[in-house]
Amino acid sequence: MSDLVAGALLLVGAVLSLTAGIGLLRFPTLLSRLHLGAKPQVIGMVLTLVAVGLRTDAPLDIGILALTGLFQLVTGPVAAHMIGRGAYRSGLVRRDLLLTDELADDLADDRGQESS
Amino acid sequence: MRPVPLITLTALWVLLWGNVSVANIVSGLVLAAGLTRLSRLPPTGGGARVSPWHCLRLFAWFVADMASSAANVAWQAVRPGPQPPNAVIAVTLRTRSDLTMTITALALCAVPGSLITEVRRSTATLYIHVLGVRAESELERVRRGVLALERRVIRALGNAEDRRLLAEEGPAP
Repeated sequence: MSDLVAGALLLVGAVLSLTAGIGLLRFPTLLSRLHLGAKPQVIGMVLTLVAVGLRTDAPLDIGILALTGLFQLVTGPVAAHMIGRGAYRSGLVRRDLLLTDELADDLADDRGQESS
Repeated sequence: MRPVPLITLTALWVLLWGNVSVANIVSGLVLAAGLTRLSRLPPTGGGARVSPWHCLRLFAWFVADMASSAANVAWQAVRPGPQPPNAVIAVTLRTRSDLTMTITALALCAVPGSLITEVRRSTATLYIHVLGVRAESELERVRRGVLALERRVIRALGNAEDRRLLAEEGPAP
């Protein structure tokens, strides 16, 4: 039974990672690509870790698997945020593909206040 | 010396070694004491009231949301046809607490489809890059979702001030 569950989790994890790869090729902008690198890939990895945890016999191995997953979940978003922030501020954002951009408006307001 | 970081760091150390022994625990404690001394971080979560039940609910919601939006983004990646446009929206949270803001931002970031591009701490505003938005009306839905998430975080571990703000606002719609 645990074999079945672990196999299913591995499969789903692999498919999610695959879609992340496909999306990297297909999505047009840096920010939308970041979504894929930071998300389905991380979830795919967590599912893989759970599958490994189901099949391991040493209880303390589960600790290290949990730590790996936890650090992925905590550091992935921070890294994505820093890259996204840097990209945005250095003008690497395709504004024509954005429906609205409220950050640009607010940053423009800030600049207006500084110069006045 | 605060006990919580000390115990957490020691537990991390023992887990990394993968076996519980006196030597590991003692060396972990020494290391943790040294680290907390070297990097004097300001205390976070001042006055946070942790509610285990709401923490559990937050976690369950998080897992469910992650699953559904992972499927969503994965589908967007492989679906034929041109990609829908994205949007950057500003959502101002109610909270003034760093802990609540950080947890809300992390939970948002870990979930596919939303990416924090900028945070303004003075006004507790999150700037969120939303993937695949077809109409303005969808943005309203995302905005409400973020505020609902903040409500969950406050219920799980908000401080007294957060909870007061929430109570003033009345029951959830």
